[in-house]
Amino acid sequence: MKKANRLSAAFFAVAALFAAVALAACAQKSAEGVSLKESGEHYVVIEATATGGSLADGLAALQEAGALEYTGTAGQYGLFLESVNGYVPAEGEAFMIYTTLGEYGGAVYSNASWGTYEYGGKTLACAAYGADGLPLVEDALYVIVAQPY
Amino acid sequence: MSARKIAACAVMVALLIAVQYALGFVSGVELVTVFLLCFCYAFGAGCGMLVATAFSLLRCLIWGFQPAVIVLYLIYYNLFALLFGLAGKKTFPVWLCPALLILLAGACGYFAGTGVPVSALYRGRVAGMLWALFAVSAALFVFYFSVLFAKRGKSGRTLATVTALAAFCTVCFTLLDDAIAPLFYGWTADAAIAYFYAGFLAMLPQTLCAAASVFLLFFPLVRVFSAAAGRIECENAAPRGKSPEK
Repeated sequence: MKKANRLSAAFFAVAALFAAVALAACAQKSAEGVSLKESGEHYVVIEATATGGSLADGLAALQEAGALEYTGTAGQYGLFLESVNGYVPAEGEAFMIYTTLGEYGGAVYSNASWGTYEYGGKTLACAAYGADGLPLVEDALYVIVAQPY
Repeated sequence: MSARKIAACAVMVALLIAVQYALGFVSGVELVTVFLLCFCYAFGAGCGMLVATAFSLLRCLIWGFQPAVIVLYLIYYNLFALLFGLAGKKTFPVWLCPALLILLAGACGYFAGTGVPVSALYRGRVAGMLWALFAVSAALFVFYFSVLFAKRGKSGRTLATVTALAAFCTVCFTLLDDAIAPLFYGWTADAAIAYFYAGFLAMLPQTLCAAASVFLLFFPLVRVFSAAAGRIECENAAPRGKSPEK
């Protein structure tokens, strides 16, 4: 009986530990209004979980939550990304933004004529604005990927 | 063209590239317009177009070779050099400045009033800049007519006219890009229209900067460039082996 109780206690402790780690991992990949769906060597996929703010705000929130790292400078069209998760674009490359956000609130935020990106069975179009100009709209996807230009 | 003029053009090309590079990190601020304008005004269209062509090509060594941009720069800056090179030799008609300012103010007022379909995150900023440009155009309009009959009216009219022309040309630069880029890349009409509206964000501060910089720096820079141009003419006219009299 004592042995069974000890085994049960150990089992529940391990299960609680796994749950805590899983919850911590989830918390790290999301922040207020955004979540990091996937990241690779030179791309990140971000999903807006709420409407409000800009993609640049979302990147800042994810960085604060420890989900990703990025550096950038303020340019003529807003935030100019210089590195994402330590990856710096090679010569002839730059970070491009693709999004499922098309026409919204009377403005066009992306256009397939400028390029497309396939992710999760969806076709994302090249963004018309930088991270500062793209609003976070609930359920919209945003892909930042280093590509030749 | 004398070797001295070619050397002056070479120095001007270097200066334009340096100015564009130095201020490239400051959003909305550029001094290429005022420097090239004053150089063309002082040295004439020939030297101006040489500088415009060399600048358009040599800047690619820093910013990369992008065909659409090269075409845009070659067309725009050569026409710019021709316009202001001729302006240095001829007097502007009286109606030119008011007509340009009415056109500029009218367009700004129209877009500010109806709203520009840009990103919701930029609408406030774009509307503010449109009204600012409207105010600058109105102020220039008042300035023009206030100096029209003043004692030094001619220089005031010239200043108001080159300022209005510089602002108008800066707008035309963006409009030309809005025409060239879609044609070059084969975009749809929707993509071209979206590109046009997205361009407002860069066009408006550049136009304000061009108007302000030309208004403030036109006479000092023209004085400097004219002195250099005059000195070159004197040295070219002097007999061989003898330095020109000062």
